[in-house]
Amino acid sequence: MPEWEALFPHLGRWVETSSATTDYNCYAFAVKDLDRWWDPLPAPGYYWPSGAPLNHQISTFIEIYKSYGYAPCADGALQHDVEKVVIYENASGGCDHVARQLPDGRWTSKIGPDEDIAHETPESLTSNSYGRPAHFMARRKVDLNS
Amino acid sequence: MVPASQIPQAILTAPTSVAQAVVTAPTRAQNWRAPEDRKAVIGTSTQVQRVRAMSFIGLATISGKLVLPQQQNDWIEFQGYARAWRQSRPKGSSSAQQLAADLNYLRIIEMSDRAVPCLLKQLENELAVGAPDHWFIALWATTKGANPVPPESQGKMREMAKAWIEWGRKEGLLDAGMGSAISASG
Repeated sequence: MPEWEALFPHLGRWVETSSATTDYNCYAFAVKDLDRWWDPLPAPGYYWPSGAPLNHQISTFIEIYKSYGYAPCADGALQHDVEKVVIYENASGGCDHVARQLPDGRWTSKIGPDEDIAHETPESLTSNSYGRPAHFMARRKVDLNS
Repeated sequence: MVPASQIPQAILTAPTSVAQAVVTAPTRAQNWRAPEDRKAVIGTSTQVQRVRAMSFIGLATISGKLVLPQQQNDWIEFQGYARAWRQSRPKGSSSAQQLAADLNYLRIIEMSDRAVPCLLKQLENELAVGAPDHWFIALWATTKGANPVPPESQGKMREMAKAWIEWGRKEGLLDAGMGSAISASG
């Protein structure tokens, strides 16, 4: 198991919630797509939502998650019957990570090609690698059991 | 130098001089691409017999110096870069492009067409135990833009791997013998 505290200095309490896999990445995991690795890569073979620009710009991710029913919201506060994702903004103004809120208010993230973890807050993963949680989005819950 | 963990069991039980030759063999040994090349390099019938005798483990010596068949040589070189890449690539990245932007991954691409059978074999080995790693950028680069992944399999890493493996078989690039003597893990 990687030493995630070294990568995420604000990590705090966390638990591993899956074994490592390349079946999906954080962008897909945010909308519970556990079958595909999303990548805006011009090389053939990878998946990227149809019509989305091939880049890591924040505006691209906002549009992608809008297409999944999310709309921008103020913060990551837990709300009944609402599920939220947060887009992290890195120092270059791009996105390298997206996390999803769990029903208990914690957050969950797929860490690159490694495992899924549950962490206490979006700020737990604030780091040089991911940047900071900057753009919250919400939609009505579509699966009350998840 | 070949790491001790990669030395086939057959070598460990071989005479000391042979085992030593394996351990000290350069990773870039003599290129052997065809039987004719071997004859030209080896020369004497005695040495040819030694090649035959050792062919069961895919190794041979010339004047006491170990020479690996080209594919095994490429495989060892590839495995070295692959192991180093897993250690040195950016941790936590969800971008295949970022993961591939690493010197060791670029060295695999630099192997060019010699890397293709190794990449395909690596995919096959990984697929047998789970989801494969991100070898697709290297495959795309070293095959000069081949694209065997059907649209419905895009992003599905296991299906992407299967498409590449099937393509490799059709192209005759997937050698069932390569990688069998040396662990693919890493």
